[in-house]
Order: sequence, then C-alpha cells, then structure tokens
Amino acid sequence: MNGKYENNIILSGGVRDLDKFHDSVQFIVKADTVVNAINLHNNMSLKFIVEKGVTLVFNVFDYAVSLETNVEIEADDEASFVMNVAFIAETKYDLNVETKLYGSNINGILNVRGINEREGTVKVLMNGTVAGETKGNVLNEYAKVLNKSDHSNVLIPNLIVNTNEVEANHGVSIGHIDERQLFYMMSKGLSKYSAVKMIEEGFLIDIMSDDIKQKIQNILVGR
Amino acid sequence: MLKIENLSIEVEQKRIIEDFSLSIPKDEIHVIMGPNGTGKSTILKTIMGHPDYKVTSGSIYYNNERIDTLQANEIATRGVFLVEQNPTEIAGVTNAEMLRAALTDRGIKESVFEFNKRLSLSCDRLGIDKSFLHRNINEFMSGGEKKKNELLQIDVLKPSLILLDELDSGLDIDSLRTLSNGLLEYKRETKASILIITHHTNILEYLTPDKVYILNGGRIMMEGGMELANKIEKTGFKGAFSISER
Repeated sequence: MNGKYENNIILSGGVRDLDKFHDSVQFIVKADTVVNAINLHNNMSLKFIVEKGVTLVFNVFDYAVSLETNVEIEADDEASFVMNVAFIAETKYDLNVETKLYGSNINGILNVRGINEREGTVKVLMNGTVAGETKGNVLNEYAKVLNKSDHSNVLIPNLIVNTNEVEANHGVSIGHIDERQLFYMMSKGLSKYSAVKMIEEGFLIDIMSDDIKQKIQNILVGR
Repeated sequence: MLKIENLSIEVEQKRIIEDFSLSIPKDEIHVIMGPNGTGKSTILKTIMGHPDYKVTSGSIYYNNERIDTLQANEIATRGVFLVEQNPTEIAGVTNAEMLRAALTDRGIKESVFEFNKRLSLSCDRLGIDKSFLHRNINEFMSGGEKKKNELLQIDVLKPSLILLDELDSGLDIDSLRTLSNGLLEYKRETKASILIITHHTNILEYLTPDKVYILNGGRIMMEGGMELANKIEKTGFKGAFSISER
C-alpha cells in the first residue's frame, strides 16, 4: 500500500466510471481499461500504475467551479496510456499531471483542452519523465485553452528525458475562438450563440472516447 | 432576386471592389470571372455578411430586402448559401448536429425521427453515404468530399441563392460533373439562382451561365453570355482586356 493514497484498486479491464471511488486512490492497471471521470472532486489525488503491455485510457471531463487535481501515471515496458482532459473553468482550475515512463517501448499521450470562462484562472502543469536506460518510448504532452476572459492561464508542458532513444513532443496554445469556424457556422444559419456553443463544445469533446461523449453532451446541454 | 447596386468594399482599409453592380433573377446562373486577386471572392464573402469585408458605399438587396447590414446567419436564414473554396473544418461537431442546429435556428422544429428522415432522404437523393452525417464537419475529408458535404447541406437547408466560390478547386473531373449535376437537379426542383466565381471555364461546361461578368481591378470590365466565357478561354484575361481597350 502506498501511504499517500487511501485506497488501492485493481483495474482488470473494461470501462470504469471513476466517480464511484474515493478522493485518494492508487490504481493498479492489470488489463486494458478505460476509466471515465466526470466532475472530479476538489483536491483529488489519483495514481495509475500501468503494468507491462497494458493500455489505459483515462478520460476526464470537468465543469469546474473550483478544482485542484493531482494525477500520477507510471508505465512499465510495452504499456500505453492516453489521458484526455477537457474542462470548463468557471473560477479556478488547477491540474497537475506527473507521468513516469520506467520501461521501454511505452506510448504515452496527455491531451488537455479547456475553456477559461468568465473569471477563471487556469493552471495546467504536465511533468513527463522518461527514465534512463530505456528505449523506444513515445511521450506527447499537449494542452490548448480557449480564453474567454482576461484572467490568467498557465500551461506548462515539462519533459525530463534521461535517455537518448525517445520521441518526446510537447505543445501548448492559448487563444480565442477561430473566426473562420464562427463565420462558417453562422453562414449556415446558426445564430452566433449557437455557433460559439457548438464550436466550443466540439473543441472539448473531440479528444474524448465515444463512450463518454454522450454523457458530456448531456451535461453541456444545460450550459 | 439578388440586386447589388454600386457596391464598394474595403478589407483592412484597402479598397478591393469599386462601384460594382449586378442583378440575378430567380432561376438563373451568373458567373464572375477574372484573374487571381481581382476581388471575386470578396464579393461572395460580402454578400454572405463576412465581418471583415466592409461595404463603404452602395447596397445589396435580396428579395427586395437590404441585406448588407445583416449578419451572416440572418442572410443565411433568408435563403443565401455560400460554398467556400476550401470549406472550414470543425472538430468535434458532426454534420448532423450542425444541420439540426441550423434548422432549429431557422425556426424549423421537428422531432428526431422527422429530422433523421429528412437527412436520410437527402443522402439517398444525392447518393451520399449516410455515414457522412456523423462525421465531423469537413474533417479528414478530401476536396471532393468537402464539396459533396456542402451539397448535402444545400439539399437539407433549401437555399434559394447559392454562391459558389471556385467550386472546381481541388476537384477531379468526375467529382466536378457529379456535383454540378447535383446542383442542376436542385436548381430544377427549387428554381434557385446560382452565382459562380471562377477563373476557369471548366465548371461552365456543366453549369451553363445565363450571364458572364469579367472582373479586373475590382471593377466589371466586360459582360455577356457564354460566348464571352469561351472567348476568355481562347484569349486569356489579358488578351480579352487588350481587345476591349482597343
């Protein structure tokens, strides 16, 4: 048992909903598993240990008033993980993701998309570490935020690579809604309100797995 | 139907179009030809209400209503449809979702069953695979698929004026023929008007124009029928302008 976490849970495949679990959990991923999480709790700490040859897909959607979340992912040889995070920040959104690639031939992707709405402040810190004496690893960290307020956005994609044989990429962007997309949608007869809503929501759910998309859309209907 | 009177247009404080006039009656095809950079696309985007294109003088009327003061969605709901040269991709939004919102914002409220039936009929009529409806708008589509997608939108949204910006751009000859036939079929059924922008005559083999305008330097230099387009094909734009000046 890792002392930092209240619970140890074994994931042995299939699709799981995270909201059944406690605020501080260490998951041992023993078979290919999709974990879906909608609206994480504040101060949640999660750790995934992805065992050899196993794939983890972790989809997170947050419509956050105020949220601070810490996620750790550790991966062994031949493992894969994809963490997709989409959020709408009403006030504060603070996400800290640590990834550690201890083995070789691991494929890891972090994909974060958010909308900073009204008076939100956004901080996304991605720390990826590739261990020494490993080879064939791929690690990508991406974050994009659409900014609708004048408040601050901090996106930091760190990569700490201790080996020469690795493919590691990172990229972040902070911008406004794409004016070409807005004109396109309005030229089809959508009001500006409908067009903006669809473009923003499409931007968020585009990175999500199909099995969680509908749930997110149901939440966004009332936005 | 569409009437443009003495229109001048600026983009980023630069005059692009000067004193441009045009009138397109119902059920007619008009074409504006001209070399690259003469402002052809500017005219279409201005008709469609693009916010970057400023009308500095003149006016645009559609069905006797002034539309150059309206926003793009207001113009679209009055029956105008723009097919852009390279239709924009929108991630995470399917064609069906966009079409449903477009119909709703037009005041057309129908059940999911009725809506699906409408889309299904359009796909069948155009020979388009129904999987198109559930693909993200223009994402990962070839040039031909994007234009086919626009044709599907036309069939669902039923515009009465279609603006085609370089429809033949990025299309092979078979795709161009298929799309043109689809547009002609739509025009036959609805008596819609079509305004084509092109610098080639390829598309005019399929969509024969009632009137041809030659644009240069932001002004109409010549106008006529299909014979003018044929002359341009033979002489090129420079040749036509020099003959005209003499």
